[in-house]
Amino acid sequence: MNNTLSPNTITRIQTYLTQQRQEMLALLEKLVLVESPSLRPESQAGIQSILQAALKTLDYEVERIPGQTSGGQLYAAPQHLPADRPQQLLIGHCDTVWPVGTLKEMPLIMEENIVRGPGVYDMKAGLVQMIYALKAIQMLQLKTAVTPLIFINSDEEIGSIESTPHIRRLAKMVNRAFILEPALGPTGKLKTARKGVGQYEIVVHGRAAHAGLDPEKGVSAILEMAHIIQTLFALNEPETGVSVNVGIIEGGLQPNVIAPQSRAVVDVRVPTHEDAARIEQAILTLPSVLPDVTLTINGRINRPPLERTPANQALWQTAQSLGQRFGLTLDEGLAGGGSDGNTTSLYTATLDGLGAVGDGAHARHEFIYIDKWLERCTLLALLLLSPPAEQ
Amino acid sequence: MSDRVTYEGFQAYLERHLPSYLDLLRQMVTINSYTANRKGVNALGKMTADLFVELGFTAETIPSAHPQYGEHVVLTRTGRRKDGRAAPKIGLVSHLDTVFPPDEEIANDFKWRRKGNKIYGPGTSDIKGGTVIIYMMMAALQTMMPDVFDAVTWVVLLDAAEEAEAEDFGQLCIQRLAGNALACLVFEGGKMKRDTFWAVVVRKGMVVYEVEVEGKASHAGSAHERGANAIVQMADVIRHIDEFTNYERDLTFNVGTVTGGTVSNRVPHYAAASVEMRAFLPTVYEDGIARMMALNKLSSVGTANGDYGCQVTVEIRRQTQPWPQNEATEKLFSVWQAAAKALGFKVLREERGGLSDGNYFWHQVPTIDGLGIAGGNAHCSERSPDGSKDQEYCLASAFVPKTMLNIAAVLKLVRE
Repeated sequence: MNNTLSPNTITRIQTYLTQQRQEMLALLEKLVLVESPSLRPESQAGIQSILQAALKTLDYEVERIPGQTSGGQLYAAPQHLPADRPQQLLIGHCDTVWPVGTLKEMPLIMEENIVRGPGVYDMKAGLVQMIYALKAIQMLQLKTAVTPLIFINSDEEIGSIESTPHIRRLAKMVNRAFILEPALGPTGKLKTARKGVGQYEIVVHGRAAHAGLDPEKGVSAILEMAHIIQTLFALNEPETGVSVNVGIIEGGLQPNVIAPQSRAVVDVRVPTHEDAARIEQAILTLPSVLPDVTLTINGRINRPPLERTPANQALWQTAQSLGQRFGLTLDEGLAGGGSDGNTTSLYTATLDGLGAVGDGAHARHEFIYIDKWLERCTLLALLLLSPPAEQ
Repeated sequence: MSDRVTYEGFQAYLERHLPSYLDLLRQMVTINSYTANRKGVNALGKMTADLFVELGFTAETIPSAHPQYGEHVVLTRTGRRKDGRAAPKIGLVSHLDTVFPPDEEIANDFKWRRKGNKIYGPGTSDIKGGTVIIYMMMAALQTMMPDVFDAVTWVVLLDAAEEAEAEDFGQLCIQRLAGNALACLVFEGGKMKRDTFWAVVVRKGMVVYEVEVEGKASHAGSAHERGANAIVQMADVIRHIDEFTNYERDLTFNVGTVTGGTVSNRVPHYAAASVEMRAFLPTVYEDGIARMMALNKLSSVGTANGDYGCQVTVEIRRQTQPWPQNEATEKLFSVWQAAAKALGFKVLREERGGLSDGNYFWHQVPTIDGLGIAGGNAHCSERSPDGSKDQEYCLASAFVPKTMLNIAAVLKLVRE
C-alpha cells in the first residue's frame, strides 16, 4: 500500500509545484481577471475556455455541457480512459458571487504571500490546484490507481440547480469525490461536515381595505407575516445547529391601505437529515393565525447535509495521514454553508474544503495565502495518487 | 317672495341648465388631473377659472409648495352691501387633482361614461362633481337672486394637491378666510338617499410613521449566531402596534408597508415599515402617538450572546390633526338641518375616517364638509366582471337636490 508514495515521490511533487509557482499564479491571474458571476450566464464562456485549454494540455478530453439558465458546465476525462479502473471525481466551480465590474473597486493584488481579488478564494485558486495536481502527476510520470474525472460547474453560488443532476450521476459512478471549495477558517480545516441548506418562500394573501375609512374590512398580510416570522424564529436551535433565518421581507402597497400581500424568504441550515425532514415539515405546514388569510409556501432543502459517514471519515483520515507525511497538520471542521459535496456525499466518499487557505469568501477582503495554497496542491496530488477506498 | 316660490324658481332654473352642467363635468373629467400631472392640473385650473371669471370672479394662481404639483386656484368675487357695511365672506373649497395617473386610466379603460343615472369617470365624485355644484350655486344665485349674490364675498379655493395631503393649501385657506369668513364649505362627496342627506362634521386625524430597525448582519450559514435579525425585531414591533388598535376608542393602526433584508443567506441588518394611525378624538390621537413613540425603547431581539440588541427608531413622517366635534361646525350643521327641513329633506351628521382639506382649517374657520356630489367607489378605476369592483361614479340625479340644499343653507347663513 502507498508504494508509489515514497518519501522521494512526495519531495518530487513538492519541488515540482514550488517550481511551478509563477505559472500557477499566472493561471490564477487569468482566471480572476475574467469576471464570472453566476447570474450572468454569458460571462462563463471566457473562463471556461481558459480551463478547457489548460485541461487539454493534461490530455483530457473536455465536454462543454450547455446550460439553460446557467452558463453551463465542463466535464473532463482522460483521452484514454482505462475501463477497468475505479474513478475519482474532482469538483470545482468557476462562478463567483461578484458582479461584472467588481474588479474596478476590488482589483487583483499580488503580494509576497497573498493574492487578493474577487473569487480568488472561492474558488478560482482551487481550480488552479486541481489542474496543477494533475500536471504534477503527469509531468513526474506517476500512476494513479484511481482515474481522476473533472467536473466544473458555473451555478454553484446559486444552488447548483442545473448542475446537480450531472453531479449525482457522476457521484454514483466514482469511488470518491474531492471538492475544491476553500478550506475552513484561517487555519484551513478540511470540511468533513456541512449543514444542509434550504430556501423557502412564504407568501401571505390578506385582504386590502382603506385604513382610514373601513379598517375593519381588511386583513393585514403584514400582521400575519409578523406572526409567521415569530413562529419561524422559534424554530432556531443554537444547541443543535439548526438555524432558520428570515432574510428578506416585503409587503404592502402604501400606508393607508391594509396590505393585501406580503412575502418572506427564509434560509434554513440543518446539521442532520433528521433535522432537515423535521424543519421542512414545520415550515411547509405553518398554520395561519388571522382569519381569512391564505399562505403559499414553496421551497425545500436543496442541499442535504454532508454528514460524517464512515466512508467520509475514512477519506478524511487518509488526508490527515498524507499531510503528516510532509509535515502538514490538518484539522476537520463543520461548515455552515452547503456545497456540491453535500450532493456527492449521498452516493460516495466525499472530502470537502481541499481548496485554498485564506479568508473572505463573499466579502471585500477575499484573499489566499500562496504558501499554504502550494501545500494544499501537494496534498491533493497525494490524495489523487492514493489507492481506492474500500467499498 | 316666499321661500317656497324662491325654491321652486331655483329648482326650475337648475333643472333647465342641468345638461350644460353635466357637460361641464364631462369636460373636466376629460382633462387628466392626477396630482403629479402638473400640466393637467393647471389646465383644469385654467378651465375652471375661466368659468368663474364669466360670473365676475377674479382669478389668482398660487404655486404649490411642492414643485412637482400644479397651481392652487383662488377665485374671488368681492361683495358690496348697499348699507356700506362689510360684506359677509364665504369660502367654497374643492380640489383640482385626482388619484388616477394617465396610464391607469388607459389601462383600465376608465373615462367619462354615462350608464343610466350613473356617470363614471376619474374624479366624477372626488371631486369634479363637487366643483360643478359650486358653479351651479354661484350661477343660480347670480341669476335668481343677484342682490344677495352681490352682497356676499365669495372665495372659491381649489387645491392642486389635496390627494397628496399638501398642507400649504390649508394655510392658504386660513390666510384668505380666517377671522372674517362666515363659513368654509367643503365639497367632498357626500351621501344622499332619497330625501336624506349627510354632511361631514368630524374627520379622523392621521399620523404616518416610519419605523426602522437596525440589526446586525451576519452570514446565515457560517455565523448565524453573530447576527441580530432586524426582520424578527420588526415582527415584534408589528405585533405591538397591532395591540395598540382599539376599535372602541376609534384608534386604528395599519402597518401598510414593510421591507427588509438583502439576500436570504444573510441575517438582515435592516428593516423598515410605514405605519398609519387614525383617531377621531384629539386625546386618543395624542395617546396613540405616545404609544408609538415609546417603541423607540423596544429592543427584544439581538445576537445570541446578547452583546448587540436591535435598535428601533420611530419617526413621524407627516401628521394631520383630527377635525373633532366642535361648536362652530355644529352651528353650521344646524343651518343645513334647517335648510333641509324647509326643502322637505333631512340631513344627518357623518363622522368620516378619511381626511380632507377641512382638517387643516376647521379650527380657524367654521367648516362643514361632504357638500359635494353623491356617488361611489371613489379612488377606484377597476371593474370586475363579478361586480365586486366598479369604477368611481357620481349620480346625475343628485346634482340638483344637492345644489338646492346648499343654496337654501347659504341663504339662511347670510340672512342670519
